[in-house]
Amino acid sequence: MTDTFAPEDLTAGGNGALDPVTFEILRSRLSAINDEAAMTMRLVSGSPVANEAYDMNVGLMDADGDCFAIGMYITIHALALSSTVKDIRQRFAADDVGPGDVFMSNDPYVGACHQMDVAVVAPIFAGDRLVAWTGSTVHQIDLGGPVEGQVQLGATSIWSEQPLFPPIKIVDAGELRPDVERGYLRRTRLPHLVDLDLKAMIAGCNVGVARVQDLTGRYGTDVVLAAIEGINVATAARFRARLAELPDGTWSHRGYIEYDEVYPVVVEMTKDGDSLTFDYTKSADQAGAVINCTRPACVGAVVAAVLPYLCYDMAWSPAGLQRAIEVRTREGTVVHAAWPAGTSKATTTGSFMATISAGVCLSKLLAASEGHLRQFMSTWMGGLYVEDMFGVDQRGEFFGAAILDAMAGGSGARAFADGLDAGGFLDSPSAIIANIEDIEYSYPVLYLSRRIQPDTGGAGKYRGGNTLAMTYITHDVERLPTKILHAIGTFQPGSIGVAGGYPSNTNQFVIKRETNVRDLLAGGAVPDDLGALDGELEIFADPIVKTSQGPDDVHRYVAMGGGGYLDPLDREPELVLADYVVGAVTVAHASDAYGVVIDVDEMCVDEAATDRRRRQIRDERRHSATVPGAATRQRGST
Amino acid sequence: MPRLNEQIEIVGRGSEAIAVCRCGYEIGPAAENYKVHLLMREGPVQNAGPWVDPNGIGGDRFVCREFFCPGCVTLLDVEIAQRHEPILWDVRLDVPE
Ligand SMILES: [Zn+2]
Repeated sequence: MTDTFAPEDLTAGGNGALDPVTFEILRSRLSAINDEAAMTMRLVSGSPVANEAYDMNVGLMDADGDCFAIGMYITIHALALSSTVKDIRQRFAADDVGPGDVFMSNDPYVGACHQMDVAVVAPIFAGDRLVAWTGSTVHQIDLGGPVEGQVQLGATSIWSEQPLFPPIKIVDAGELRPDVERGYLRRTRLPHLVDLDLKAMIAGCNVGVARVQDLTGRYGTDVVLAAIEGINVATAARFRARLAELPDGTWSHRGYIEYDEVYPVVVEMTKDGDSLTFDYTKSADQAGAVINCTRPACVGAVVAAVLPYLCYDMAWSPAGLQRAIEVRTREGTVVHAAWPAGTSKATTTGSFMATISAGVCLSKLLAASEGHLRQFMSTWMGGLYVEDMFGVDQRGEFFGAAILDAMAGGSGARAFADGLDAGGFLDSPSAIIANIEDIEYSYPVLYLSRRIQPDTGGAGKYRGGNTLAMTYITHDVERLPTKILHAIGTFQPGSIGVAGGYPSNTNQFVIKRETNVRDLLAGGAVPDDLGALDGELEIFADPIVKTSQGPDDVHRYVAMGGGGYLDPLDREPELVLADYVVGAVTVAHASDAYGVVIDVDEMCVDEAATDRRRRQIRDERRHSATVPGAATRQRGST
Repeated sequence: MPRLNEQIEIVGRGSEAIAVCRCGYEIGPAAENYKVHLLMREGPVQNAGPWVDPNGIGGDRFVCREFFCPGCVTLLDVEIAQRHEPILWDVRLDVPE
């Protein structure tokens, strides 16, 4: 992230108690403290979720719980940590919150994004004065409930999901409370892993507390407090100035969650002068369980979209942004669950689509601006696939895992270049995926392939980034007894295109059963194409599936690419050829979507044939499309 | 000049304002959804690309709507919607008085 402040920001941040240079030093230092806390947490945690996939974050809050600095990981956690602190401030007597205390909660109705994202927060005291809070969170692989992992398949309310705990004190004046720790670990199928993650989150908080205390000791508490408020003031000022540079209007999007039925997540974004309103009230009524998110998660989801689209060059202070953003929700919807609706999969359903839908509106806002067009990005991976896997590993130990390779989605096309292949996803500026070797070392699986899948990014003058496809089999075990495969964006591509760009592909997962893969491997071949294997293809129609994998079964999935930008017939034919050369686009897709005919023998564009093909596509458009007029008017338009 | 994006500009002021394609085609009043004045092709969601639900697990619930300029047949928007849903008015700019 670039943090550059204009002189007027510094003045705005100065608020009399400190000079601009000191302010800038403190602002950078507080950001660096977050980085160190996150790295500490990552290194202490034994969980590949934190260590290899960075499904975690840290944040610093002011004394009231407003988050003034969020770490560079999963950004939605800013609001989770903030809401959790605010709840503690409300519920605990002031003298029940003291130096050395650490609290934890997984309650989405308090603030956690879903039950699996445990929020651990600690007050920071300078002497006996509460000056700030630090917080950390790591996605947990199992916290109990009827079904292994996060997705409580079959749940009808929160009562059939993972048990909740509102904020409880896990560390009291520096002493870990063994009774609370034991009660927490009692509920999980993976006590060792969950305990290590708990210690990792506490370690992250310890770093935050110690380093901020160093700062107050060195610079004085009032100076540090002025810097914290200065960050919020400066970010709010900078953000409002950014908004004022952009056109006024209203942008709308409908995203979708596939579950027992289809649940639209509808947002209307109004940008007026230097303020921004997101209205989700037309979103679908809530489901009984699983896919809903609570209001704090929805607000966090909006912040997660605004940060990368509009705040790429300012300090990431969610509290500063919130001064200029209003989020309207309706209780009882899929993005504002009413108690006791379940939320176990919220971060890949309700809040995920809240981020994507807000992101689509923000991308079209940038597309409408000449001055900021270079910052435009079409939709990033609009639906995440995850596999939760449980069984006995190659060492004979019970294990649980969340396979997060699909986080390598495609990024959205830009106004001057394509999206990035396997670019990641919008919710995390630091998204990575584990090396195959790390996954194979940790879990009893053997990858046959993991590669960029051509034609998965949305076509356009600039195309969306392609995503990954993977195939793997079991390894060193008889079978994988429990696999929970879950995704949204299976019926429809969540990564829509902008201004004539096409959307990406959809998430897809299949298992070819009882294949001859072992024979082929024994013969020295590595079959990575399901078509080359004998066996029966099982295609899953449900977006959430609980299944198992035998020794001859080959599991395959394709994640989701990014959306395109502008009409693909306007793409330079040489760029299509270049994509073909590196395997990003096939000959068929080059012709069908781009109207570019590639001479594969000469490895060049057949210009005459391309002209003819493009004319043909334009003729088809004219003849197959209708002037909507009466027909569409009757259907109305929202 | 306000614009919806690189393809479509708003020309004129107040109630006279109209949306105009880059080719010069006058799409319609800026106060209305530009998409209902375009050529539209509605088809299965699979029309959006070769890897869009290739196994047809979503049935025919979702459709792909492609909107073309009646003047130059440039593709101006692609909308994915449930079959029964109205055309989405995705961009409504405030027009100068
Ligand atoms: Zn035109």
